[in-house]
Amino acid sequence: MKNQNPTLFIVDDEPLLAEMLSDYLKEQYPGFNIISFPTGESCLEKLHENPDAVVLDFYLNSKEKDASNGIDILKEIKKRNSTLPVIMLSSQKSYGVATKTIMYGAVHYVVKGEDAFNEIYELIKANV
Amino acid sequence: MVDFTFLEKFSKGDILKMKKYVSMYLNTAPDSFKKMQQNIKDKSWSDLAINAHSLKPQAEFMGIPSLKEVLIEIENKVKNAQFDELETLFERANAIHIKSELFLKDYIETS
Repeated sequence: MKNQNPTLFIVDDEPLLAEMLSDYLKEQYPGFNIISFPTGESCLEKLHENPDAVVLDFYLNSKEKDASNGIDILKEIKKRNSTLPVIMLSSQKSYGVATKTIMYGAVHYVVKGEDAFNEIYELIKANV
Repeated sequence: MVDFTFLEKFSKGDILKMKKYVSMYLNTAPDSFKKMQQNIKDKSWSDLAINAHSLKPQAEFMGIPSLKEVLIEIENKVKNAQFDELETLFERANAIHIKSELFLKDYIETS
């Protein structure tokens, strides 16, 4: 990693996954500064803090009906900072969804599951 | 019904970490089931699919594959506009949830 203490934003409305991912990443590399957000809107409010990467859930409105979904947040992030690496997360193994997220600038699309934690770590290592 | 193989490996046998994850699941899963029950009553099929979808990885991490399978089935039935069996599938998912919840609560209290 180029940056010794990269800041990572994790955006997921499911606290269990955000907590497990945060624990896993810190265990792999204690230098990570990780901040979790339950909605895309709260992440956008802090985007001026210049994170080194964002892990963004595709479905962000299971808890709050009015919350924006991940693809809208991805578009907004890319509008504000086109070079910021964004890794999209979803429980859906969908070629269509994956293509859509890559088209809007995500570096990768990871399917939530047991293998996702290491896959995300490898993607972060390669991109920050 | 509940298989902690993944969670134990993920937590590297750290009981406190495991209990933290199990507690987080127990704090959120019942609300998801309440929402799905309401979705069934309201015939809000797309919301039902979203709630089933969100719960799926959590069921996987908690080692409840039977629940994950039923949640996938619910999602697929909604996708294919096969709404007739959704209530039965939800009842099946809820029954698995009730049993697994007892197991998980017992784990929190006794370990």
